Amino acid sequence: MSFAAPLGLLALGLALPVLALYLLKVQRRSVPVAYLRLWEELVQETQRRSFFERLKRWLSLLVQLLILLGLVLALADPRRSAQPEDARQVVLVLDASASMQTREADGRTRFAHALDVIRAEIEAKDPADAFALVVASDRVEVRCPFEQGRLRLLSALEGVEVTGRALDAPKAIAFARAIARDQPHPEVLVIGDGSAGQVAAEAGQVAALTSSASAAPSTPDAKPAAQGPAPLRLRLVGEARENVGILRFSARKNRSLGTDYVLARVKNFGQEPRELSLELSLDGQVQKVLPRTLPPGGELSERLQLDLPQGGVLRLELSGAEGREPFDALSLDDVAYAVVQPARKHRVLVVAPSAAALEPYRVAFAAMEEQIDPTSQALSAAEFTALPPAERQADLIVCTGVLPEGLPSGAALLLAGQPLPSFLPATEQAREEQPVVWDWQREHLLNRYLNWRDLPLPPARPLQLQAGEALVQSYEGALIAAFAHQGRQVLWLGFDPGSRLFPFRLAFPLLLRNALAWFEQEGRLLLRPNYAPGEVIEPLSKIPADAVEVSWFPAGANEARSEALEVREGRFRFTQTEDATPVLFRLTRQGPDGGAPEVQEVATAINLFAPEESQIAPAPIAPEASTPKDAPAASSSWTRSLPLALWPILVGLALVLWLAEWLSYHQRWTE
Amino acid sequence: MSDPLAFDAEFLRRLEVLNVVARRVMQGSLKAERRSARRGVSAEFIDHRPYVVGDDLRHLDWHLFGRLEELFLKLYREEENLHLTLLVDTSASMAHRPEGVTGGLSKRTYALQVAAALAYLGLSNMDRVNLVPFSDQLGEARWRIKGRAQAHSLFELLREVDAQPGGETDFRSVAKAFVARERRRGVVVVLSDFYDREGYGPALKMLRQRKHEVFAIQVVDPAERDPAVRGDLRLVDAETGAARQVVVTDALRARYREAFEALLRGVERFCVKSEFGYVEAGTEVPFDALVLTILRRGGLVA
Repeated sequence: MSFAAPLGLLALGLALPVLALYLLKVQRRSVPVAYLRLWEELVQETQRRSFFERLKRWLSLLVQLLILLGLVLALADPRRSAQPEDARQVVLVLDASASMQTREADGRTRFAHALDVIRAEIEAKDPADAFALVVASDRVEVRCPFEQGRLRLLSALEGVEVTGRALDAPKAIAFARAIARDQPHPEVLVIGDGSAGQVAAEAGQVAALTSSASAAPSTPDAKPAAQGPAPLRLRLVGEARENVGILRFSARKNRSLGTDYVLARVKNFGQEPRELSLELSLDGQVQKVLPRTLPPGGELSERLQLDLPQGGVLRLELSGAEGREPFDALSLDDVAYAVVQPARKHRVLVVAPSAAALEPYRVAFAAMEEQIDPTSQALSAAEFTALPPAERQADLIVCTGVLPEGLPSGAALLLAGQPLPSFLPATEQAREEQPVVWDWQREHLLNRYLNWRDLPLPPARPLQLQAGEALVQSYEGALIAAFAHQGRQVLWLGFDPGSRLFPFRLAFPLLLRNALAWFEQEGRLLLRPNYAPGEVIEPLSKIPADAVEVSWFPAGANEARSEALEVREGRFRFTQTEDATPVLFRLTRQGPDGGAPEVQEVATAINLFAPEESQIAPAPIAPEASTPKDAPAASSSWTRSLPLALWPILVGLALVLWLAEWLSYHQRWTE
Repeated sequence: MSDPLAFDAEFLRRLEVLNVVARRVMQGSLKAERRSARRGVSAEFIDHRPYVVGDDLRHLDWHLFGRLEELFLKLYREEENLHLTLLVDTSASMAHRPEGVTGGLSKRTYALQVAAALAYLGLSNMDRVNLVPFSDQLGEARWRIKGRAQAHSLFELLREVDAQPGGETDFRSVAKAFVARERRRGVVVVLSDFYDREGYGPALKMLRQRKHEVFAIQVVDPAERDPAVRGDLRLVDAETGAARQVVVTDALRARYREAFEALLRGVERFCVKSEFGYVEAGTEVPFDALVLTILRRGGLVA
């Protein structure tokens, strides 16, 4: 028992005036009467009851003092405190994932309802109970360690915001159980929507408490936490709502063919068929509007082939057939972005021992005008060496039969039909006059559209690799292999493709396109095409930049926001990734010899492609494992059945005593 | 508010009216020639008795002696003036006004008004009037005054009595003193509340033994029938100062009302049983109305 306002106990001093008033009341008022004897004869009858009369008077005083005591105690605002051995240690796990942004019928988000639930839990907790507050999405944040004070717990809720991330429920529950592990009466209470319950149920971790006996760790036979994981309760918020969500949206450039593909996958998570429109726009310009109908649970995949040589940001938005707003309860998964990289022509240098050996390559270049930069050249080794260093820079240098001096560092190399350079970790095998392809990596980008088994290859010298990747293999070794050497991508061909004209004309352009695409992907891909909300965006490799500026669209903003990122050791980190948005990184590098700075733009997108978040209908949880939404914190101790604030009880008792005193007084006058 | 015992012109006018009305009511029976129960000498023959030596020979009935040759003496009703004594209780209980009661008259004032009226009527009828205030003993009194001219003297006495503090009531001592002082028989009107711890019966019987015709007027304050007191009280006797702590409840008040009525009926029963005249006089009844009631009932000529 504790008092919230102990100064109120000073009012006990009012007992003295009460006593004084009572004694004054006992000293009765004198009233003269004409003939006292008449009264005396009557009073004699009550004399027999004088003892009880006196007793009644003293009882009256006692009752009055008790009434005063009750009111004074109520004034001091006593608070019931549970016994320390009964105190619980509850970890409140608040689901702050994307699905909690779902708007309920009352217009409030599930997250707002969850906050109400937590506040109610905090208000209803026993003073000795300690609560910890954990906010969970794909990561877990401890907002407040175990704390008994309500105000601190409530203040810990300030500033807690829902995220656009997916929920990692097993991780959150495991974390909550971990921090509650050493507590005597631990309990984990997850407050979230169906996705949390679904995940938890699938993980077999829902041990939701169905009765007070099983729920209350304060019961005498409750097992200590050390003997098992903390009991888990689940408080569901939210009702079944309609939602259609984008599960995938991406754009891919087919460098082999020079086209772009857009892939979109949409699913109706609701219980009713939905008529909707898929609006595809590029940099704000609507490209296509696709009306579709999705049955309940239905899913559609759209694959569109577009010609987007300039690249840009693609935006896919779902809307109702009549453009009604809002389209569904969760708007987060109604919009997705994809970045289309602009088509870029590559500078290719072909170096051969003689001009005659270059002729087949010039023919091949002619068939690759859409990909080959006009400045591309076919050079002899001497000519190449004579070029100024700046002109030796190229996206790809094809060396056939010769390895010239002065190769620029970092340039991708395609080595064909020449002795194995010493820097490649491989051993050259015996020459094969008619190499037979035994196997090749059919899914590899370099082998796209190529059927090596049907190609009559010229004589080749296969390699036995110590490192690198064999892409095409004969029985003797790798005919084509890929290496990464000192930051340089090297593609090794164990034969000279120009020695046979027919396969060269057919296959070499494809191989060259594939090689360019592969080199670009391996060497120039700085970012993944899509990131999840909350995921930190970091370059996949070191960037050749001195400064990075990022631009993105925060949630609800109509204009892009830009910010400079710190570049440290060729890397940067972008962490403001809570909202679905395209993100553009502008990489700036000081030009060589103090020249104009070189600018490179790299874009990516942040999208929520999480079916478990888009599935906003309450998860089916077994009835025996569910906890009623309005069920108070479980308790079996009778003291816990008392309210925390005892003053209403005391005031009630005082009123009852007052009523009894009044009835006794009334009975005395009317008996 | 005017003094209820001012005996001013208005009061005197009411007395005169009362006197006239009373004459009609009594048809002259209250005159000085009113008949006495005692046989004596007068014009009205009532009986004969045998002559004995020493009788006045003038009252011998010679006609009867002629017929019967025996001497009989004629007896006549004696005519005499009425001796009216007004014993007025002036004790503290008569002067007491219940708590919280305003307006109206105290029992003593009211009794003095009634006494004044009866005395005035008596004086107007040439009776001899004794006006004797008392409490535990006889107070200053007016004895055997006669004639209306003495009325103002009476009124003066009544005013003085009303202004004096009252004492305890002691009927026995008062009756003893009265019969020792007044040996002539007459009508004794006792105006009192009859609140006497020692009892009023022996005293009234003592008056009866002295051949007085006793008439009791029990003055009652209506506020005493149902006193407006309640709670834990210390009741103090107005005469003796004795106190008693009493919890006055509704039930006790109900029993008090019953006891009070029993007290009144007890006095009435005693008077009837003892052939005393009795009337209950509530102070709310105008004194002249009460007097007329008394005269109509003929109690004073019983």
